[in-house]
Amino acid sequence: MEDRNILKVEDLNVFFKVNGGIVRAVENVNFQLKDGESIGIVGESGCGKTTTALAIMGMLPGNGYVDNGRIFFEGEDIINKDEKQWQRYRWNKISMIFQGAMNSLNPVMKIRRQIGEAIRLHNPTITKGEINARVVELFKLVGLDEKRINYYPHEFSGGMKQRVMIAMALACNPKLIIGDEPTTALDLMIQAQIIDLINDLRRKLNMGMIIITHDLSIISEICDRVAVMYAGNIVEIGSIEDIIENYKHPYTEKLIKAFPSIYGDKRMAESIPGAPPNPLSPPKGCRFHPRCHKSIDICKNVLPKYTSFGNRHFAACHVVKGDSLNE
Amino acid sequence: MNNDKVIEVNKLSVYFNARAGFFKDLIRKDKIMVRAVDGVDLSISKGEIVSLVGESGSGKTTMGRAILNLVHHNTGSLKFNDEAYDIKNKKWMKTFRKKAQMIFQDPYQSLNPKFMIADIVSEPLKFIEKKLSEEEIESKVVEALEFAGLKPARDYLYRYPYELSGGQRQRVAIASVFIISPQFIVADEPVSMLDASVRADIVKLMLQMKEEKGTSYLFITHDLALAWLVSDRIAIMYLGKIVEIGPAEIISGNCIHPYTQALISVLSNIDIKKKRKRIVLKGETPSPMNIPKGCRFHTRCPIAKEKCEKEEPPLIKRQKNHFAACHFSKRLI
Repeated sequence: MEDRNILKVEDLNVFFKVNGGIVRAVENVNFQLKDGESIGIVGESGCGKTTTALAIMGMLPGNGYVDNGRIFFEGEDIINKDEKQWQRYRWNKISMIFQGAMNSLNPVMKIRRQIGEAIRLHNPTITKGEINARVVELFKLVGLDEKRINYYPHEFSGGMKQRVMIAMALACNPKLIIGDEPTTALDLMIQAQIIDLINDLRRKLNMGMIIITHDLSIISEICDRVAVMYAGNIVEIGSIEDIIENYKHPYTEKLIKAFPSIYGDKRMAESIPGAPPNPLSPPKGCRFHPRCHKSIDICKNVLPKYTSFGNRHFAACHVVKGDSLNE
Repeated sequence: MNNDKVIEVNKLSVYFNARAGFFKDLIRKDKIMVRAVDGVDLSISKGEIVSLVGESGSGKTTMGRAILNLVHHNTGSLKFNDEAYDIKNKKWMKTFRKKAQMIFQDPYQSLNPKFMIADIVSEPLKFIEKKLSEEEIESKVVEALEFAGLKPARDYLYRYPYELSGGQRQRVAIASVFIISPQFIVADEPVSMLDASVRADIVKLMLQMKEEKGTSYLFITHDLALAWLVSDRIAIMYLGKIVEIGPAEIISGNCIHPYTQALISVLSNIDIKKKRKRIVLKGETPSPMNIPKGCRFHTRCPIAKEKCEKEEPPLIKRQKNHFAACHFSKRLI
């Protein structure tokens, strides 16, 4: 079983050096991704979702560093690679659909050249004709009109630019794609189109996928598993069914109840009182305890360990009962 | 009956000139028009919340702005409290501005960064009631801030917008509207820039204002679920026209127009047991410079027939208060 994990993140800590001290953006994050599986990471802004993804891509900004932990890709530890090794592995093995597709394309470069650049940089021996053929192939794959390969980004609509970003991520046939808020800032109908496209590609190409979003409904459409993050920790992880219907952690509960549904009763979605903690000085004990409606004394001092609820469903909370997990 | 209508809009159209370039504009005789709002009827009663829902570019913001006379409308008649708009009359406009206000989308841009909170909130009041003393103004500002949930209000008076979070800023914006107790408010995506966790609070605040003061709202949003939660009636807009309007329950459960049905079907939904059939429309909304003939939705409609390409369907009454503009009325979901 173990060796079929395409990605395994173990005790990952990512810190940032800033003026006021050290920001513990991601702390003690563990998760695994099986071949062809997709996992969603959900949480409020600033909870460390994107930082986790950047660490996996080896693209942390200058003041960020991996303090502890290991990341295995296909069984190989990738955290200590040097930049040259990273370059060979990035995009060829793991690629990313960046947040804000509208702004991540170069406005003065034709789309064909932008996608072609990604292909050429990672396959230095490829010929021009092969690149063009590949771009056309990618355009077809993401449902864009191949006549438009020589257009500039401003001639594309938001949804089409998002498709271009997806094509770019697929350029080198990666085994794993990370989508950072792939549908945010798109209209509802375009969002649905992109979700359909991603699901379709996943079936066709059998890729692993990590979707980072604050919108649980997108994850429920695309992913098999969900990790709920709060202030740098994964507080609960499990299959989408387990998380939505059988959630254990009070934060997950709040997150799900904050979701308006037109099929239920007409009640105002509940908001979570308070704000996420300051990452420079997170609270002692369970990081969620100041906002938690179920918190007890022990939550204030002791960081909860994960308890298992079967079927790879874990939650870190003192209040919920499950089988304790020996780490 | 007529008397309880706060806003009545008849055949409202707003066109913008599309510029093709300086010389082309000089040479060309027929101006290309962007028909942002194209003949819309709408009325809002006292204490009613009507949501205007549509994708970006559907003309919903322009509609809201035209109702407040923030953009010039080309055709149509507007009535406020059964009184036709008298735009050229400055006195009339001033009383109108007292009673009709707007909450903007982006609290990071709508507050003057050089003003302190006390100034931002008191400015509309000072403009309207010039005889108030400093003490009276301050007590009103404090009252408004406390209503908006910024407690203790005195801590906020002398701070600047940059010191506040997005949710707090939007509260300040609401306080500055609340302070003059308008009768009618256009809220243009008031929560779309905010985190999900503070959204509900801001919406509750607006509902509370309705309860306490009987304020009517035109609530502009792209979020159908939110519209369903807050409003009495929902109007669905597509390319400058209202294609369906009716009570929130009918729109969510019994809508007729295929566009509404498609929007409902792709609505974010985390209830895995109740996954419905999704109708994902192909392509994108056509340009408002070049609106399709006939039914403007026919290019993307899953049930379009020949008739739809030729005749534009009128907004026809289906049930009490429920109108839809479609030649057919077929349930798709």
